[in-house]
Order: sequence, then structure tokens, then C-alpha cells
Amino acid sequence: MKRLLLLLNLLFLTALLQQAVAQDRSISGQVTDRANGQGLPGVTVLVKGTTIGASTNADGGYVISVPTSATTLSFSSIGYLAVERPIGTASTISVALSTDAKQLGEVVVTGALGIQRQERQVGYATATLNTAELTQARVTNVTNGLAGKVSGLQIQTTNNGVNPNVRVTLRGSRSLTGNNEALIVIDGVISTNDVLVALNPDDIASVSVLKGANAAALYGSQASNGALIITTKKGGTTSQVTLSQTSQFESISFLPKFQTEFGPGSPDWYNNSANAKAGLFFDPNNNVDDYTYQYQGYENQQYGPRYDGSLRPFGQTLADGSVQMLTYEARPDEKRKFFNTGYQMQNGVTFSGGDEKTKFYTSYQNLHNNGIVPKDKFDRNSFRFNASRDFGRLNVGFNVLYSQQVSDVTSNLDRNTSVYWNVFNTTSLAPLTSYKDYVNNPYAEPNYGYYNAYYYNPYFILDANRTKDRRNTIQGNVDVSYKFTDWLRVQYRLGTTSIGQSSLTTQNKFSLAPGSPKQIASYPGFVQDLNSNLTRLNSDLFVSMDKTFGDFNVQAILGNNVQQLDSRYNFVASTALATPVTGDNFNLSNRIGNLNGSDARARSRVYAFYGDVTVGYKNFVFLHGSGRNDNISILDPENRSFFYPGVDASIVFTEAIPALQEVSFLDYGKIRGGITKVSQVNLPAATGTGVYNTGGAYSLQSTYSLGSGFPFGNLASFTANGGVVQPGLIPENTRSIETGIEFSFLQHRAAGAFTYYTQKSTNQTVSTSISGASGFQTYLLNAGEVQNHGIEVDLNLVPVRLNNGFTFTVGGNFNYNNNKVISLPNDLPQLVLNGSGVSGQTSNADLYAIPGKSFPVLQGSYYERTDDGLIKMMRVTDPNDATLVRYAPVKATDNKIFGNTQPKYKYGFNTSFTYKGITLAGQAELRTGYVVYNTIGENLDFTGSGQRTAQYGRQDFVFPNSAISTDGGQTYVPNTDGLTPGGSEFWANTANWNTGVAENYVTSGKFFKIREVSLSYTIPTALVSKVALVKGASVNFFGRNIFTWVPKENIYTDPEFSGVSAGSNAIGVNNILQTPPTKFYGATLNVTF
Amino acid sequence: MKILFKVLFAASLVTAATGCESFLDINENPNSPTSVTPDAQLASALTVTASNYSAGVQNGTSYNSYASFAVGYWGKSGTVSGYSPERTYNYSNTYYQALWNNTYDNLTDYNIIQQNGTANGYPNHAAIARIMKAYNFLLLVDEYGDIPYTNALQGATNTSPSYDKAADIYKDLIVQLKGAVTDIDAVDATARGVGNEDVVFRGNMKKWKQFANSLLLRILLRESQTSDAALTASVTSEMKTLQSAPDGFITSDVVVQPGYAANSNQQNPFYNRYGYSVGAINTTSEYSFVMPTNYIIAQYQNKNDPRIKQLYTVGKRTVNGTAVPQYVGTDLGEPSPPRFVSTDATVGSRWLIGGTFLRAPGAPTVLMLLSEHLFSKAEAETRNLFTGGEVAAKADFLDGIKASFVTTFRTTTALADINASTLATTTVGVSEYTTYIDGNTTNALVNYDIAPSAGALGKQSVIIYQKYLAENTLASTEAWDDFRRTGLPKFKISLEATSPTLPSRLIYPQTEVSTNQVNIPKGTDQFTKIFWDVVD
Repeated sequence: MKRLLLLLNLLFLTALLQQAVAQDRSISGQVTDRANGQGLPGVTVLVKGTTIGASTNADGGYVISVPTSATTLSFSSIGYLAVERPIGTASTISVALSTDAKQLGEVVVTGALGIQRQERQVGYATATLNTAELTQARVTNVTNGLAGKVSGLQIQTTNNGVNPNVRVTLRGSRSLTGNNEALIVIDGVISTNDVLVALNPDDIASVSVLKGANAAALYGSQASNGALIITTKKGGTTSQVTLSQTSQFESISFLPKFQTEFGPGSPDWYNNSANAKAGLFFDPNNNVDDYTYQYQGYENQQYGPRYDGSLRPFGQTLADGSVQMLTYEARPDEKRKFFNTGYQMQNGVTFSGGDEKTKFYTSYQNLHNNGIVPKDKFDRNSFRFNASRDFGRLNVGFNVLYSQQVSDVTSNLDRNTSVYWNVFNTTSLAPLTSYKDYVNNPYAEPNYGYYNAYYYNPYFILDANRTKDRRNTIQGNVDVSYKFTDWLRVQYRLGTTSIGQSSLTTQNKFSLAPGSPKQIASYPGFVQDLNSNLTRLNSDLFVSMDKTFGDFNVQAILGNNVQQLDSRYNFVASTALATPVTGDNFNLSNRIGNLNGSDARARSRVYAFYGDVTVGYKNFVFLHGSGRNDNISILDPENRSFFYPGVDASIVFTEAIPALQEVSFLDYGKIRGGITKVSQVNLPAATGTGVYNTGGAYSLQSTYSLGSGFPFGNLASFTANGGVVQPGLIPENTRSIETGIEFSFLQHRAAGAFTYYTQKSTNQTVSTSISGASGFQTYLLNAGEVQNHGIEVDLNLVPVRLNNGFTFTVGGNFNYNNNKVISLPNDLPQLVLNGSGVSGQTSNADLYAIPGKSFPVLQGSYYERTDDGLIKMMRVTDPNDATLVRYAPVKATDNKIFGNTQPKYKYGFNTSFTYKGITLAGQAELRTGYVVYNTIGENLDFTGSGQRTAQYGRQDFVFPNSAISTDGGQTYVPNTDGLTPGGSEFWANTANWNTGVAENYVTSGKFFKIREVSLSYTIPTALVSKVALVKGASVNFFGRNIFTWVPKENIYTDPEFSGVSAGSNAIGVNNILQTPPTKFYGATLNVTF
Repeated sequence: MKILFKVLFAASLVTAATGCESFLDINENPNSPTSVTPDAQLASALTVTASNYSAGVQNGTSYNSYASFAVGYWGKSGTVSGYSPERTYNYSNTYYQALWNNTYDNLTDYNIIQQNGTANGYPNHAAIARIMKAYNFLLLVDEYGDIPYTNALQGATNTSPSYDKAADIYKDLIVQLKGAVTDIDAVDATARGVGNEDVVFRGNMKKWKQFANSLLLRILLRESQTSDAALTASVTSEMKTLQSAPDGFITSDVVVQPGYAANSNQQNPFYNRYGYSVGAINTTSEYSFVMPTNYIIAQYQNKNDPRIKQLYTVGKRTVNGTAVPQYVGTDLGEPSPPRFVSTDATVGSRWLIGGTFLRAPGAPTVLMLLSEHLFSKAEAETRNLFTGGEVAAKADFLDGIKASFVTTFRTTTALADINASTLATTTVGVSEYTTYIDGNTTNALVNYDIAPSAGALGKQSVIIYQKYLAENTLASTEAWDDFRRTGLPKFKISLEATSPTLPSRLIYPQTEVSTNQVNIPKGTDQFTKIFWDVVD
């Protein structure tokens, strides 16, 4: 559409030029983009106060003849701030234009099917970000470049690492157990979230965010979650080569708060023991102790004596009888020093060119990432080739991406193989980083040396547990369109996304040497070889018309869509190696016992017909309606065809109401509103087996699977799986209503938008937990209702815009989303979400849907309280002395709701300063109004490495806000001096007192992050052009996530993280297998030839 | 190019307009069967029952590990922290909650076998399933009391089934077991038999009838001591019928043996959990987490019981600087229990690798011990529920001890070696049995004749005591049930107990609270007694 507008401009200008008379001198020059110094084509150059004008050519050059009376030239182009220059006596006038804050109404929106519309025409909320906005801080995953920039859009990095997972949701969660993630569309073709990590962000021309079902309905079922419409770059009319190099460094931004007062040791009830009373905390002979005294240098738990600087044996006795001696003091920096400074490199080259009829764009990028976890590596090589050509009325084009991603990371399968868990649970006494060489260092080797008797040396874990993953992604489409007449066009687009993944997870065999004092489970060693693939085909054939009848303009689309998803995986594994492996010479034949294996394949299809009509009146009133009929293979024949409609309207009231046209400060205003229904078939699809995805196929029948261990020889036997299905499942419906207003004031110095939306999803396809006494554990049925409503506000201001080019912008966006579960299937009182707490790392808390509450809510164990809110204490016995009166808090037998785990309020902030090629831009985000559960807290308390366990100096203490009863629980009085045991027996080892009580580890999820800061400088063309061939150059210094603020109570981790399994909605419980949050700093050099 | 365009256009039109229905008919599941016949389901169901009963595959999933702590066989070692519910009796609704769903899930398989078997001509399979349903429901009732029964196992038809009274379920279990025996008797000789998928009796239906009868005895005895006169009368009459049941009772340990072997997921589940993982040179970590209590060790040591050598490793205690090898247990709840590090002053005992409990990866798993049955029979006789009086009771008491010795000393993993039916002197373990009996002629806990006949329980107490020793870690669930019924034996309560009494049951699980809260009986906790739990 941009090109079309340009064309219109030219036509308009030609008309203007014909009127030009009385010309007597010529002025020439070049108009460049201030951001990158490149020539800007199609800029309108006007002699102020006249209709005399010209337009710049492909390189930004222009020549204009001006009358002698002319004093000022004005330069304007859509998307850029207009500039005026006095003519004086100059014969060349060159200007650099800076991009404008959004000029609402003029912005082009890429909507459904890749059809572009002016924003004024659309009756729903959208947002569009261009390449500069997306990549200013050199993200490696394009969606990270969207974080905080669009109201209603939530980008959540659920885990960190060299190739992090990102979850993209719009306007909250609608579906209880189904998919809530936004649909991903690339160059008009439906793709999949898996492809996001394969894209080179530099290839992206723009991302349009269609926030609600209203905008995306034409894409079909999956659009009820909104959509990200990604458009890749196309060639231009001039040849251009761009080289870019980015180097960035990554470091830990947040570690849990550790205690630095107490060393290793784990005896329960030590405080009042005879030894403690005698002042004995260490073995008097400084021997390696058993559990007689408080200090055990080989303990993983850290409930030992207070640091005192004395010399103590650390670890256990080596085979030669020696033992490491250390000064008994904290070495608090060792944990952070364990992690590397990550280094990332992005090297890219793009080449684009073409002529009036042929355009092409090609690129290559290598991303190399050395993570913060030692030895973690990730490489991505992406190639893109986009081309198109006009053959008269026929236009043919194709876009193709080939991307190869290779990662080599530590496996983090469980406690015994997790790096994070083992590092943060290392005692602060340990000089951890000195144990790197576990082959030669006698105090680091795993049989005797490494101090910890219960866990392995993290450096050893790194080497023994590796996952190597290789993915090849091909994403592309062929696009053919034929213009019958000026107003009627037919277009066919065939696209595919094909991902092949092969993943090898290995563990080397390790058995403790005979006589080793360690109490660690051996590594049996294994090879797990997983191959999975997914191929999605998407075909669209549609006829579109765009014709004006008098004051009316009609745009209509009639089309057919066919989709097919094919996927399969095969998995083969050994469960124990026969002999240890050197290097990475793992092979399935090196094993003991049978091979384990499984495979599956799935196919699903959809065909659909759709229609879409927009009627415009005088270009200020627009009425739009659409309808789509889906036919989907995964449902029963009688339910598989369904239709859903939508309507919306927009009125540019500043043009519709004559009086407003006179209001000089008001540039533009639009109101809009719409209602849409989208039906979605939300059968379970993602599997957690590589990229294998069933697309919901085969969900309608209960199945049997081979019993565990079977076949035993020739005896095979099957067992009924735990799920039952309601006969006659139908799609779930989301009805979405939205209305909004958009406006801009004062020559676009202030622009804003406001949207209110409400969505109701009914007849949800829910896999609900049912009473196990029914013989099954889950029931897939239609039921349940969730309502979301919220507002979105966007405001962009340009407080300063000086003629010398200095511009200061500030913007913000806000989203309030409140969702509520209206009802649940079977009148269930609550529905537990799969993939959350219990099946993950904690058994204290879990995520639920509960009628009348937000979705999802965190519910977990808590302390019993009196009516006044004091925690009830019960009397316990200190085994050292039965006369000692001690109290412990009483854990309630039921669970309590702690709150919703999705932010209710999200704020985004951005600002920029631009002056003469220098741009300083920043972006920040605040999320609030929710809670998270920190599983990590349980682990920190269990080992005693966390700060929380040292808050009472490990002494018996008065439990705050507690009450005790002297009459067997009839009445309670506030506890003022009743002591609670303060050693490991309380903090770690009696779960019901502390670590098993969820309320201890629930914190607010509030955070404020400075997500991006970038300083870029476009080197003046005059300077760089002295170097042969160089047309432009720029440098950019940036930082990402450079500052994270969380409330004081959150001493654990970045609340954005969630240990969620793929495709689950159970967001809000983080776990111990995650890599710590990080920040990035770097620089980029861009050169254009 | 125009031609390409036309082709594409035509192709998509064809796709769109023709054969739409067949285009979408691709919904047949290529990955998993959607129905199976009873013979293809039985082996897995039986193997799962055995695993749930004897060891489970994960923590918190076996009746045996729960009961072994509860009834004083096991304590926590110094190697590990945790086991706080076991030590404090402070149970939560997640404590062993997997038992509930796992057992019902297993029951579903039996239920399907029974329904398909009846409908599609597998009457023997159906009868086996009927017996095994009773076996599993009994496990649930004994841990939870009132549970869903009549409305259970109905899948989508009833997703939140109501609860039945424990005593009523007991009544029906008796009906079901008798019915199963009748079913087997009624099977046409030409009907389909049961083959190797019967991993318990290899298709021997007479043995299934004997098992049903022994299970019936287990059930009747358990509810035989309530103060409910009507129930007692009914037990008495049922016992009378049972004693003369035509097929009699089990004659050997009832075990499951699908072909356990040193392969992943194919090892004996107890061995897999507490012994060695497949291919591992070092034991699993759980092997070092639990250890015998001082109480159970003392029971063997006091009577020079030769069985102890098959059960535990020898630890040591350092006395005045001298290490003395001996069996070392723990008191549940002691602050610093022994570990297994040779340099420690005190080294604890653990289960003997290759001994009774960790015989081999291919060892079978127990569903019912012959010794348990014989002791039950002895109890029925001494209490005059069966005829035969003290003479029969003594004979069965001694056979019970002998059967325990045979089970304890069996050396190989084959099914036949556990068969104690003849209890001949040639059978391994019998000479040790003789040593034990001969060495304890003055011990009233061994010599039946001098056991006190007075007191509340009379000679029942010595029978329960020997049964307790026989069931150690192999069938701890039955010992736990007998303890709750009779209050015997008086093992040591945890030092960290937060209540003066032991728990009496498990709390209804969190999964059930989330899904079926309205039906859960109100006001129960871990101290609420099951209806047959009559002694404190």
C-alpha cells in the first residue's frame, strides 16, 4: 500500500507540476533518512505557499524549479516529520528527515491475508512496528523486540538460556486449557510459534499486531487469540548491500539472595543439644566429622556453625588420607563467578535490488551465542531469498527462509543434573570456581575430592549431561496474482512451514569408585535420540475487488483456504551405557538392557471459505463485515463444519463532522467498534516431544497404551489411558466486542488511542481433571466460560521538535486486563491446570481455574490462623530435652488462593532523543497486579543457602504474628515469648513447618524493567562516502534488560519466568531448572554499499 | 507463467470443491489402539497391581513403603533429610495421594476386562478381573474408609462419584469374591482359557478360586472384631461356609511374575527402586534413605532368628574406640540417625543386597504371602471362627512360621521355589526354621503352647506377632492393617511424633479435593478410624 500511495502522490504531483509557471531557477539536493543516511525516495518537495512541487527519485535526489518569489521549501513524506528550509541563494538544499511519531490514520496496516489497509479503514485495534523499532536493541528473537511496545501484547520469556522460549499472548488468556498464544503469520501465510526462533530479525520489514479476534477472524479458528502479522523485507529499485556486525555481552542480572553467615552442616535440633550447650560446634580434633557435631564439611545443607575464620577440614577424606583445609568464611562471589559472561555475535549481510518490475532481497545471518552457563552454545544460520516480478497483469513472487539452529547445552533434566540448582545450593564456604578442573584437581574430582557428599560438582555435571539439538526450518511461500481489471484481482498463495528437529540428549556413565564416601546416585548414562518434524501447508485462493461507486468505495474478498498439518516423531533411547564414553562418542549400541522407543504421527486438515466486505463512504465512514466457514478434520463429521461472522465500523469524525475540520489543533480522530465471533477447536495439540504437534488430531477417542515395561519377551499387554472424551465435541466460541477512539493533535505532536474490549469464551474444550474414582483422571468436554475485559491506552508525544533537527519523543502504553472464570465444566469447584506445580517441581502450590476468580489463580498450602489473623502454633518437643517448650506453626490441611498469576496492569514506556543522526532511545516496562510462586525458595530453604533461613540467626525464635493455645486449641492468645526451633529441623527438614507451606514462597510478580536502551549514530554521508562504494554507515550501542526492579520481598528470581511446559496455560510457577535472568550490552556496526 | 497460474488455480479449486468429506476423513488414530481384548490387557493390569502393592516406581506410590514406615519396620537413615510426615505423623492431603488415583486407574483396567470378558466370551478373564477388583478395592477401603464404590469406574457417566460406607463395601466384596468363584465354576469347558497373560497362576483357574477364598479370609478376619453384633454374626456364618469351600485356600505365595529382568521398566519394582537401576554399579539413592528400626532388629536378635541374616547387612558401633560389628537400626525420629559411611563411628544396617528383599532384578512380586494366609487361618481357628481348635491353630501357626522361612531363604527367582505347599524338610529355609523353633522353646512368642491364652486377645496376639515378622517389608500393608485392628505389636512410636497416637489412615487426596469435594465425607483426618479399627 505504501507503494500505491507513492504512486498516487506522483500522479498528484504531475498534476501540480502542470500548473507550475513562472519558473526561473533550479534547486537540487538529496533527501535522506536521518536514521541511516540513506536516500529517501518519493519525498514531496513543495515551494511553500504554492502548488509547485517535485518528488525525490529512488536515491532521494530531486530537482525543482522555483519562482524567484519563493522563500521556503517544504519536504514531507508519510511516516516522516515534515521539514521546511529557507531557500536563500542556495542552489542545493539537502535535508535529512526523521521518522515521525505514528501518524494515525495514515499508517498502513497489514491485515488478514497480507492485504494492506490504511488504518483509518479498520474498525479494530492494531499496532505496527517497523524494522528499526523492532531491532534497535539487536534482539535475536523478533518477538523480544516487541516487548512492552504494544498495549495488550504480552511477551513472556518463560525461560532463559542460549535460545530462550518466548510466549506471545494478546489481551490475556481466554481458553482454560487450550491454546492462548497469538497466531503467527508470515508473509500472509499461517505459520507456527516454533518458527519465531528461526527468523533473522533483520529480515523483518514490519510486524502488525492484530490484537483481537475482530482483526484476525479471516485467518480462521486460531485467530481468536489475535495475530502477529510478520512481513519480510522486499527489494527496492536500487541495488544495495548492507553489512552488519553486532557483538554483545550477557551477564546475570539477578541471583537469589544467599546467606553468607553459616557454613555446611545439617544436624536437626542442635541448638539445645548437649554439644551446643558445651559450646561444641566442630570436632574438637578438627577431624572430618560424622554427624556428632554441627559442622560437616561435606554436607549439601548449610545449617552448620557461624563462620569464624578458623581453619577447618572441608569435604571428606581423600583416598590418600588427606583432606582439604579451608578458612571457615564465606566466599560470596563464587556463585556469580561460576557463570561466564556470555558473548553473542550477529553477522549479517543483505543484498537487495531490482527495477520497476523485478524486486529481490536476499540475506544471510549468522548468530553465534556463547551463553552464561559454561559450554552452552547456540548457532543460527539463516538464509532468506525474497523475489517478485511483474509480467503485465500477472505478478509472481516468492519468499523463502532456510534457517539452521544448532544448540549444545547442558541438559538440566532434574536436580542431579541441573547446573543452576547445584550452583546455588553450594555452600558459600566453597571456593567453587577452583573446582573447575575436576580431572586433575584432587579436591574437585567426583569420587572423593569434591566436598559435597550428596551432589556432584557442577563442572562435572556440565560435561556429563549434554543436549545437542539441531533444527532446520524452511518457511516460505509462492504468491501469484493476476489483475483482471484495475479493480478485480485473483491471488493464489501456497505457503509452508517445515521444521525438522533432531535432538540428542546424552549422559555419560559414572559410577563412584569402590570405597568412595559419597552418597550420590550414579549416572547410569544414556542416549536419547529424538527426531521430530512438522510440516504445515497453507493454501489461499481469493478474489479481491476494490471499486469506487460515487461516494462509495467497496473492497471485497472471497476466498478459499486449505491447511494441512503433518507431524511425526520417533524416539529411541538406551537407559544405561555399558561403558563410559570419551568425548561425544555416544552410540545406542553401547548399552545395557533393551532399547526404549516410541513414535507417532499425526495429520490434520482444514478447508474453509471466507468472505470479507468493506464499504467506505467518502473515505471517512467504513463498514466492514466478514464471515468464514471452517471444515476441520479433527472433529466428528456432524460437528466439523461451522461458520462465524464479524462486523465492525470506523468513522473518521474529524472529517465526518465539518465543524471539527475547523479545529486547528485537532489533526485526526476516529472512533471504531466491532463485534466478532470466532470458533476455535482447541483440542490438545502440543506434546512436549520435540516439535511434534498433533494439531488436535485423534483426540475424540480414548486410547490404550502398552503397559509399563511391556512387552516382557513375547508377552505384550495394554492399559487403558487415563482420559475419557465427551461424545460430540464442538468448537469453543469466543465472542469479542471492542470499541475505541484514536486521535492526534498539534501536527501530530500528540497522538493516542484508547480501546475497550470484552471477550467471552464459551463451550470451551477443556481437558478437566475428574475424580480418579471414576476410573479416569481427565475428561475432555465442552464446558466452561471465561470472560476477559480490559482497556488499552497508547499515547505518543513529541514535546520538542526543533528546526535544527532535535526531536524528543515520549510514549507510553497501558493495558488493564481483568479476566474471570464464569463457570467450569461439570460444575467443578476448581480445575487444576496441567503442566504446573505438582507435575513440575513443587507440591506446595498449583495453578487453577476457579469460578468467580481470575484465571489462572495460584492456590497452595498455608498456615492455619486465628480469627485475628495470627498463625496458630502447636506445641512440639525438642528431642534433646522433653521439658523445653517449643512451638511450630500449624499447616492447614486445605489450600488457599493467593491470587492471579497473570499481570492485571501492564505499562510500557518509550522515549527517544534525535539530533543530527544521533538517536538515543529507551524502552521500559512495568507489570503489576499478580503473584508468582518461587519453587526456588523451597530449595534455598531446604539447603539453607538462602537468606530467608538466616533471618533469626538460626536461633530459636518467636514466630512473628503467631498465637498459642493453652486449652487444646479452644482459644488462642498472641504469642510473645514462645520459641520456635530455629535450626534445620524447622527451616529445612520438617516440611509442614516451613518448606511445605506455599505461602512462604509466594511473592508479588511486580517488576519494572528497562528493556532497551540504544544510542545510535548515523555517520554523515559526506564522511562515509569518501570511502569507496560506501553509501552509509551507522553505529549503535545498546543494552537490554539493563535494570530490573522487583519488590523487596522477591529475593528469588525474575517473576517473568515460569517453568511451564509447552502449550500449557499454567503460567506463574518458576522452578529450579532454569538459567538465571540476564542482561545484555553490545554494539552494532552497519555499513551500506 | 500464465500456465503455472492456471494450474495452481485449477488445483486449488479442485481441492476446495471436490471430495471434501474424504479430504477430512483422516481421523483414525495410527498411534494407539482404541480397543483391546481382555487377554491383551490382563498381564499389564496384574503387573501394575503388584507394583502398587509392593514398591511402586516413584516415591509415594506404593502401599508397602507407606505401611512399612507406619507399622515400625522402617526408619529414616542419616543420609537424607525429609520423611517428615513419617516422622511426625503430620499427614497432608498430598501424602501418598498417588495411591488413590493409581489404584482406581488399575481398577479401570480390571473393570474393562470384566465387562469385555463377560460380553465377548472371555469368562475366565472376567472372573480374574472380578477377584482383582475386590483385591484393589480392599486396599483403598483399608486406607481411606468410605470411598466411591457403586458409582465408581463409570468414566464420563459419573465424573464425581458419591461415596459408599466402608462397611457396605466390605459386604459387597464378599459377594463379589464368592460370585467370582461361582463364575469360574460355571465356565463352559469349551470356553476360552487363560494363557500366559495370567502372570500369577498361568491360567490355572483352580488357583484363582483358592486365591479368592484366601482373600475372603483376609477380609472376614479384618472385620471380625467390631462391636457390631450383626456384623459379627455375619462374619461367623461366612467363615463357616468359607472353611468348607470346595477348592480350599492358597498353597504357596501368590506372586506376580511377568518376566522381570534387568531391563528398563522391567525390573522387579522394589529392586528397581531400592536396589540397582538397570546397568548401575552403585545402588539407587533410596537404598540409603531408609533403614530398619531398632525395634524390628531386636525382634530377630532376641530370638536368634536366622532370618535376619537374609534381611540386613551388618553395621557397626564403636564402643570405647573399638568397632564392634553388629546390626544397627534407628529409632524413627531420632535427630541423627546412623549413616552407612565406613569411617563413621556408627554404621547402620541396610537391606542385604541379594537377600530376601533385594533378591534379584528378576524376582517376583508378592500379592499374598502363604504365611499370611496360614497365620490368618490359625487366628480363625484359635478364635473358633474356623473349627479345629488349638490343635489346628498351632499347626497352622507353625506352618506360617515355616512358610515365612521358606520365603525368606528362597535363593532363586523362579516361581516354584516360593511354593511352600509341601514345606518339606528338603526345602531351603526349613532347617533354619527348625533351628529357630528348637532354640526358642521357652519363648512365649515362638512356642505356641506356652503362649498366654488369657488376656484380651489370647493366643491371637502371638499369631499376630509372628505374622508381623513374616510380613516385614514384603507385605507390610497387612501388618499395618493387623496393627490397626489389634494394636499389636507394640513397636516404638516416633520420637518426633506430634500426637500421642499413631495415625489410623490416609487423608483423602488433594486430587479428590479438587475434583470431587462435595462427596468427600466431612471431618476426617489421619486419626479417623476405619470401621474395623477397634483397638487403640
